[in-house]
Amino acid sequence: MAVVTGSKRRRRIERVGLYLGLGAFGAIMLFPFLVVAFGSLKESSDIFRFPPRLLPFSQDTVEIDGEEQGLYVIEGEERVLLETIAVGIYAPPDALEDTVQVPTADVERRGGFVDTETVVIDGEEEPLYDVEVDGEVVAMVERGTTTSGRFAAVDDLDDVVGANVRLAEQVDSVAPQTENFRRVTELQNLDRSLTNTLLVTLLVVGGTVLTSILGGYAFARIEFPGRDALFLVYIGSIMVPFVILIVPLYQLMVALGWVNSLASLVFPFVFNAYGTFLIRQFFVSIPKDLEEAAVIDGASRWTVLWRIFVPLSTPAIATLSTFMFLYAWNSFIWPFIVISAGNFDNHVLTVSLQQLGGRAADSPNLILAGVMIAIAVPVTVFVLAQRYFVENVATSGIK
Amino acid sequence: MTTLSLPRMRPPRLLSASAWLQALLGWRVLHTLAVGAGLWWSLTSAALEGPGRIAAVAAASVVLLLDLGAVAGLAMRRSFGRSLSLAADYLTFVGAILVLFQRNDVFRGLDALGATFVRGVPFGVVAILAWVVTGWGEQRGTLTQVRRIARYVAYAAVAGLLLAVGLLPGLATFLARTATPEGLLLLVVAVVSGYLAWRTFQSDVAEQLEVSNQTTRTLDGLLFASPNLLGFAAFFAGPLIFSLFVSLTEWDAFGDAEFIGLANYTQILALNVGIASAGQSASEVLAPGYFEWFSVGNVVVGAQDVLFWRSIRNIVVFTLFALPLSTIPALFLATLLNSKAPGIKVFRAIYFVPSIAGVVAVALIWRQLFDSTIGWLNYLISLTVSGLNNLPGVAITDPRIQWLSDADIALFSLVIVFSWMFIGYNAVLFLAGLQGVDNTLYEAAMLDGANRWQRFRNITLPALRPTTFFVVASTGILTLQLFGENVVLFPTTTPIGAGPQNSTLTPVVYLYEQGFRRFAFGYASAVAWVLFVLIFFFTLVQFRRQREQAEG
Amino acid sequence: MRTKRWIALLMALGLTLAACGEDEATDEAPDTDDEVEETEEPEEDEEVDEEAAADPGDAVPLRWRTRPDNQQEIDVYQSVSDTIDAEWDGATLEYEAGGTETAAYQDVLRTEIAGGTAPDVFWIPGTDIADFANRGLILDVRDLAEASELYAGDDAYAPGPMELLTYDPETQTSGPSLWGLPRDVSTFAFYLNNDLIAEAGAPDPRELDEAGDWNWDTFREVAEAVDGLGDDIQGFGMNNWWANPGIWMNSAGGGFFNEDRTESRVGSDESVLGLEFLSGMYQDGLGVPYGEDSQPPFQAGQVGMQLTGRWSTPAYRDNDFDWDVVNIPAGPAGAINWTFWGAYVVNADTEHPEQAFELLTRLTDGDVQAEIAELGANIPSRVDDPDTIDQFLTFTPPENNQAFIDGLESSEPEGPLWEGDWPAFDGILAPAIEGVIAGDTSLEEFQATIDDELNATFD
Repeated sequence: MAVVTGSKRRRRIERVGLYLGLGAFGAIMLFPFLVVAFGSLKESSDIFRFPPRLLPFSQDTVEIDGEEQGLYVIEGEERVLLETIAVGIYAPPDALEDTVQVPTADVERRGGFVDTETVVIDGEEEPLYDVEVDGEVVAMVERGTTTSGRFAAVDDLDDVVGANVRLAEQVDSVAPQTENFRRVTELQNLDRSLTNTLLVTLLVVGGTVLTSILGGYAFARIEFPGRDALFLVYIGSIMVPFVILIVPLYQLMVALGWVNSLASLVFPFVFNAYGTFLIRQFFVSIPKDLEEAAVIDGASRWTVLWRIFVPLSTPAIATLSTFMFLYAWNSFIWPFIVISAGNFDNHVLTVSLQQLGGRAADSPNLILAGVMIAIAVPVTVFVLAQRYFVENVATSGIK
Repeated sequence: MTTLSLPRMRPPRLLSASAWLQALLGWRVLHTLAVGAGLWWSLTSAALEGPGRIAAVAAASVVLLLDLGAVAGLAMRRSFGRSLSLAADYLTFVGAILVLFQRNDVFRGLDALGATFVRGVPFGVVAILAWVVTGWGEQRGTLTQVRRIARYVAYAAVAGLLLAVGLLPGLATFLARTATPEGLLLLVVAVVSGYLAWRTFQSDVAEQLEVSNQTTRTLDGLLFASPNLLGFAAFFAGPLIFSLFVSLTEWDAFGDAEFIGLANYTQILALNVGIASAGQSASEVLAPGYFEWFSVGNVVVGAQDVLFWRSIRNIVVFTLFALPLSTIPALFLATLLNSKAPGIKVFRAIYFVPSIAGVVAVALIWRQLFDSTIGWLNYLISLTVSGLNNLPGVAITDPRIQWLSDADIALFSLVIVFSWMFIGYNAVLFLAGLQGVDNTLYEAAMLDGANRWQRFRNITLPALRPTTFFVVASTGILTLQLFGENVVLFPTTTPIGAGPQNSTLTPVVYLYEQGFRRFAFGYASAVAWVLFVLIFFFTLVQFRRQREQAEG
Repeated sequence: MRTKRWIALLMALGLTLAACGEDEATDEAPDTDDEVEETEEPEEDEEVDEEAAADPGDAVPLRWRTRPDNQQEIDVYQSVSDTIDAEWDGATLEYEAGGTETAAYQDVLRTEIAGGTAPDVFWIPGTDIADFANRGLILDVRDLAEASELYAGDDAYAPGPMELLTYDPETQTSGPSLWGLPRDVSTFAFYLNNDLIAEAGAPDPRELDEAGDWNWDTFREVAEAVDGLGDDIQGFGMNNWWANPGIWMNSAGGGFFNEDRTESRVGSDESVLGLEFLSGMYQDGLGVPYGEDSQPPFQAGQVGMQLTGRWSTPAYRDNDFDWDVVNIPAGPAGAINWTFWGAYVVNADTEHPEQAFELLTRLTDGDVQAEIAELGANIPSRVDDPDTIDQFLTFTPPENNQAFIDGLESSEPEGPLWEGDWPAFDGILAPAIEGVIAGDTSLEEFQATIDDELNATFD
C-alpha cells in the first residue's frame, strides 16, 4: 500500500512486519495440519507419547541373542532393558529422610523372619532390615517400594545399571509408518467414499450452476409481475435452517425410494436459492446496453443468456462452484441420516470419517491417516486450481 | 469452431396458428380428463401412501386446475388460456420425463455410477487438461496446431470417460426398460406434451391471441425460473409446509400425528419470572412446571423447557464470540493479504485450507489437539508457561486446561475450532471486497495526508460494507446452526454433542436430540421453527444495519 | 460456443445413461426398492407370512445388523452370518455392520424404522429395549418362541437380562413377553497398569481382592500412590457415561431406580454417598479429568487403573506395559457392578417373523457365542452350558478373567426403563453428575432437586 511515499528502508521494515504477521497466522493455520500429516505416520505408542513430538518416531532396536530389544540411553550410554525388579526404599530409623534404594532381593530382615528386630516409629512397630550401603551393613526401616529397570550395556550384558524404566530415554529415530494408510483404508473403505463424494460433489456443483444461471437470469433481467415477491420468498429459504427439512425430506426420500442412495444426496440440493441469489446479484450488475444491443439484433433471451451473460460471469460462476464444492463436500447431517450406517458402498467421506472416529478411537494414528486421505483430494484440487479457486472468489466479490 | 459446429435443430411448426389453437383446445379437454383420472387414481390407489400420495395428489390437482382454466381460456380465446395451457403441457412434459427416469431407475442408478466413476477419472483429468490447453492457446492466439490437437484430445477423453463409466450398457438398459408399454407411453406423453408446449409457445400463436408483452415476459421469466421453482416446491416448500404442520402435532414418526395446536410452541417458549425473598429457593418462587433458567440477584427466571433456553443462551454466547473472532481477524488478514509482496498467494492458500477440509475432518483434528493429557495445545501452553516462569518475578501455574471436559471451557473450544475453520475463508471474501475498492480513493487520501488508520477507517470500511454484510450474515447463519462440530467433538455426552453439563448444547443439537433420539418430531419441528425466527431476525438486523449505513 | 454446449449436453446425457446401466451389473445387491414398497404395506404382512410358512422350501431373505466395535468383530459376525446361511435352507442372510458411535447407532435404526428400511433382525443395547418395545417397533416373539423347536427356553440365558426382556408392560410383570434374546453380557472391571502400581510401591489390587481387602479405602490408597509418581500420571480414569458413576452409587447401597424401576433413587443418601466418594477422588486431582477420554492416556501408560468394560480388551492386547484386570472395589454395600447386555430383536415390520425368530436362536447358539467371545470383547449370555464360562476364562490376556465372572455375579442389569423414558432420564442425570464431579454443584443442591427432576421422566 505504501507505494507512493516512504523510503526504501521503511518499506523493507514494513515488508518484514507483513511477513511476520502473515507467517504467524500461517503457522496457526498450518500447524494442526502438520500434526495430522505426521501423526498419520506414527505408530500407536508414539501417538500416545507425552510430551508429543511432531515427527513419527519409533524406538531403535538391537538384536541380542536373536531377539530384537529396544534401545535406551542411560547416562549417555546405549543400553537394553533386561528386567524390572522390585526395589525397596530404606532409611535409618534415626534419619528417615536419608533414604536409599536397594533391590528387595538384596535385603534381609535383621534377625530373620521369625525373630525380626523391630523399632518403633511414629508409634508403630516397624521391622529392621540389613541394608548394605557403601560396603557397610546398616539397620534400616522400609519406607516404601518401587521398581527399577536393570539396563545392560549392548556389548556387555554383565554391565548393568538400574534406572526408572518409565523415565528412561529411548533411542528413537524417525520411521514413518506408511502402512497406516493401507490399514485405515481396509478398516473403513475410504476409497469408495472418496469417489462417491467426488461424484456427488461434481453433480451438485454442476446442477446448481445450471439452475442458478437460469433462475438468476429470470430474477435479474425478466421483469414480470410478482417477480420480486417470488424472489424474496425464494431467497428467504436460505435462512431456513436445514434441520427443519430433515424429517419431511427423509419421508420424501422414502416415498421416492431414494433412501440409502446417492440420489438423495444430489437432487434435493441442486436447486439452491443461495446460488440463484449469487448469480442474480452478478447479472444485475451487468450493464443493460450489452443486452439491448443483442436483442435489437434479434437474439432470443436464451442466446443472450448464454452468449453474453454467462461468459461475462465466469468469476461469479467460479465463486458459486467453490461455494457449492465446499457445501457438498462438507455436508454431514443429511448423509449421516439418509445413508444407512451399514451401507458402506454409498458412504461419503464425512460419514466414513465420523464412523472411523468411533471405530478407531483406540488408535488415533489411524484416524489421522483417515483424515489425511479425506483432505488429500480437496487440498490437491485446491493447490492445483488455486488460481481459479481463491482468485475467483476474490475477484468476483459480493456486490 | 466451424469444423464441428452442429446444425441448429428446430421442430416443424405444424398447422397454422389459428388451427393450432383449435387443436389445442381439443387436446386440453382430453388432457383434463386424463389428469382427472390420474387424480382419482392417486386418491384411491393402494400403491401410494403417506407423503407419496400427498405429493401425487398435489401435483395432479395443480395440473387439473391449470387444465380447467386453460380450457375455459382457450374456449374464450383469451390469452390466459394459452398461458395456462403452456403451463399444463410443460408440467406434463417435465413430469413424464421424471417419471420415466425414476421408473427406469436412473436416479438410483447413481449408486452404480459411484462404483464405475473411478474408472472415468483419468479420462476426466485428461479432458480437463486438454481443455485448459485449448483455452490457454485461445488467449495467446498462437499455436493453432497445438490447440486443434488439444481439442481433439479433449473430445476423445470425453468419449473415453463416457465409455469407461459404462455408457453403452447404460444405453442398452435404458432402451430395454423404455421398451415396455408403460415406458413407451411415458415417452410418447413426454414427446407430445413437449411439442405441444413448444408449438404453443411460438410467437404466431401468441399474436393470434394478442398476448401482451407483459404476459410474454411473465412466461419467459417463469420458464427460466422453472427448474428452481419446481425443485423449490418439491424439495423445500412442500417439506417445509409438512414440517409446519408437524410442529402443531404430537408425532413420533411411527404412529398417527395428534393435532395439538400451539402447545409445542407454548411449552418451548414459556418463561416465568419470580422474585425470591431471603431464604426462598428458586423452585419456591416459580410457578409449578417451571424450572430455574438463571437468576440475577433475587430475580429468578424460570422456563418450562430449561434445556431449550439453555441452548439459546449457549448459541448466543457462542455467536457473540465466534462471529467477531472469525470476521474481525479475517478483515485485518485481508488487508495484509491485499499487497503485491511476493509469496502472498502462498499465504492466502494456506489460510484457505481449513475451510476446505470439512467439518468432520477439522473436528477430528482438533479432538486430537485438545486432549488435555497428551494433546499438543496443553503441551504448548506448558512450554510457554515454563518459559515465562524462567523470567524473574513470574510464577504462573500451568493451567492444564480441560478443553473438552470443563463446562466453562468447552463452548470456547468450539469457538476456537469454528473460527480457525472460517477465518481464512472470510479473509478471502474480504480480500475480494478490498480488491474492488477504487485505488484512486487511496491515492487521493494519501495526497491529503491521511494516515493508514484513517484510510482504513474512512475508505476501506465504508467500501467494504456490502462484503461485511455478506460475511457477517453468512457466518452468523452458520454459527446459529452449529451442529457437526459438536457431534464429532462430544460424541459421548448425553445428549450427543451437548458437551459437559450441557454447556455446548445448541438449538440444533437439542432439536436432533428431540427429533432423532426421543422421536418427538412435532416438538423438534417447533424448535426448528423457533430457531428459524431467531435466524431471520439476526439476518434482518444485519440487513437493516447495512441499509442504514449505506444511506447514512 | 455451440460445440461446447453440445459436448456438455452429451456428457450429461451420457452420465445419465451410464447411471442407469450399471445397475444391472451390480444387481446382486439386494433391491432395497422392493423392500421399501413392501414394508409400506404392513396390512399385508399376515398374508405374506402364511405364504412363506406354506412354502418352507423357499429361502426368504433376511437382513440383520449389530454394532461392532472393530473390524475383527465385523469379520467374525460376517463369518457367523455366512456359516448360518450355509447351514440353513430357510433363509438367505445379509449381515450389515452398524455404525460404532454408541448413541447414533440406535438413532439411525429408529430413523430407518420410520422410513421402512430397517433390517429384519437387529441388536440393540439393553437400555433401549423398553423404548423400542413401547413404540411398537419390535415384535413380542413369545408366541414364536413357544412354537419354535430350536428355542432353548428362557432359563438358557443369563437371568438378569431375561427378567427385563420378558417384561410385559401391560401386566407389569416379567415372564409373559419376550422381546428378544441377549447376544452377550459384559461387565466393568478396573484395568490395571501393573508397572505403574509397582513403581509407586502400592499394593497389588489383585492381591488385595484375593485377600478381601479391595475396597474404596485401598482403592484410594493405590490411586494416590500412583498419582504421586508425576504430574502427567493419573491414579485412575473412567469415561463420562451413565454406567461409570453408577457403580459407585450401586456399591454404596444406592442406585438409579427403586426396586420396581418406577421412581428415581439417585437422591437417596446411599447414592449420594457414592457420588461423594467419587467426586472427592476427582476434586483431589486423582483421576483423568471426568469427560476426557481415559483410554488414550491409559494406553499411553499414564493411568494406574481404568474403569471400563470387557469390550476394551482387544485394544489393550497391544499395550506395551504389564496390564491385567481386577473387579471393582467394594463400597459400603459391597462391589455392585453392572450386567451390560444387548439383545437381538425382531423388527415389527418384518415380513418373515418365523424365520427372523429362528435367526435369533441361531445367533445366540452356544457355539456362535463362543466364537464371538474369543475376540475378547464380550462374555457369552448362555448359562445352560457350564463349558461356555470355562472356555471364556481361557481367553487371555487378561490373566484375571475371573474378575469379570465375579463382577457379573454381583451386579445390576442395565436399563431398560419400562415405566419411564430412559433417554430423558439419562439426559437429566448425566449433566447433573458432571456438575457434582466438577464441583460446580454441591451435593446438597444435587440431592435437593435431582429426584424431582428425574421423576418427571416416569409415566
